[in-house]
Amino acid sequence: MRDAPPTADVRSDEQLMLDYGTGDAAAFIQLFERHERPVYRFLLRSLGGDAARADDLLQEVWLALIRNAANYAPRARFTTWLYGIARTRLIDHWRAQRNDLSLDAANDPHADDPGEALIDRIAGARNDEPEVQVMSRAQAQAFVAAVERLPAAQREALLLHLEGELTPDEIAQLTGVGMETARSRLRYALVKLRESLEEWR
Amino acid sequence: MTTRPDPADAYRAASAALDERPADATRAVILAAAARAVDAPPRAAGKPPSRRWRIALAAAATVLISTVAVIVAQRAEREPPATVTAGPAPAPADKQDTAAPAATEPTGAARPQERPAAPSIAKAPARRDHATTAARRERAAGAVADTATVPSAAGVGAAPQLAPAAPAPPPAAFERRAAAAGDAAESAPAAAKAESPEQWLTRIIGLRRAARDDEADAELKKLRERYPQLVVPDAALRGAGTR
Repeated sequence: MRDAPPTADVRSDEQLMLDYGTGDAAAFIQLFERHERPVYRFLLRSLGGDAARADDLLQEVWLALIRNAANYAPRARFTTWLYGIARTRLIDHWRAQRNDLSLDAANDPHADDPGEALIDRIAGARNDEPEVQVMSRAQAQAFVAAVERLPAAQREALLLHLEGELTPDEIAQLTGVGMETARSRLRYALVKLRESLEEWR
Repeated sequence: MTTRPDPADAYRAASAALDERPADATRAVILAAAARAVDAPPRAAGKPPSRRWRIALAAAATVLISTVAVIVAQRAEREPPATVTAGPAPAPADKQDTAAPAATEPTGAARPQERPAAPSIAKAPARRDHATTAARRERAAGAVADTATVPSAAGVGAAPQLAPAAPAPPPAAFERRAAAAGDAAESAPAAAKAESPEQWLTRIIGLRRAARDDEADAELKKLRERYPQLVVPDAALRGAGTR
């Protein structure tokens, strides 16, 4: 999901990063405008809405990207690399906070077909018009709160998917788990959010 | 039929509604850092600038040292080593010349004429034959005519070098010398080989005056063979002795 207004620059994320590595300052600005808010929301949701901490980690993420710009090589998608940095910063923060970093949550028994179908639908049809086009601020805050209450591993998989647009395979590689585990986490997260939405109706 | 809400769509709608964004100060810090990184000199991956500077300095130092070494070597070659001409301590000339002639022989690498301080080399001229020196001087006095008529050392077939003959000394001078050298001409026929044309003519004139015309004719013939361009005064011709 991209909040930034459409720009005339049609370069891919990988090309923009390469161009910045060779001294193109405008390329960095394009990258930043594309991914600033999604990364910020990823951090914000992961930190339970702590905006100040999200700002700090966001700064760390982008400064790390700037430092490694000269060494960047598009071995994978840019977003995979970017959210990998963000995830690492989160882990470092949680370790410093001595939180429970167990992201390997117990498998959700709700491994039903609708959840599997939901993942496939989301992965293959992201450009479909949303069923819910308008949401009040109160509803939005409630829904976001529900996201934040998800188990850490499921929340992470969900945010990587929704904010970073990573595929289940990329999520698996980034988080160091098997593809089926990544898919399960994502599925369970989506199922729970759907249940929340249905309760509001 | 109600459609089931799509959590993904709901999430996007919720994010749009909340319009969450980072603080402006955070954005400014990030953008400033990105601009500074571009303004800084580009770095090659894995090579800090100090290493490149060190490589450049090392290369410059190598070139400098090599150049200095070459210059020093060239100067050493130009200056002949002192040990070549530094022989034994200066000794009396006679002893040195007679006892160790080999030691005083200048080597091929030495240049005696450029080192006046070398005693052994300086003694070399003293060993020359005075008669040879005198003969060389005599020849030099009439060098123009001599060089014109002296046959080349290449062989009999070599063409003699012809040059405009210099005017011979006035006949009167020969006559006066012949009168004083009459006895010398009679007693030293072997010296004719080393005598100049002038001396030769003087001896021939002395033979004429001594009425030894046959000997005079023979000498005159040899003289003319050797110096065909030489102008012979009348006093050296047959019948001059009777005058």
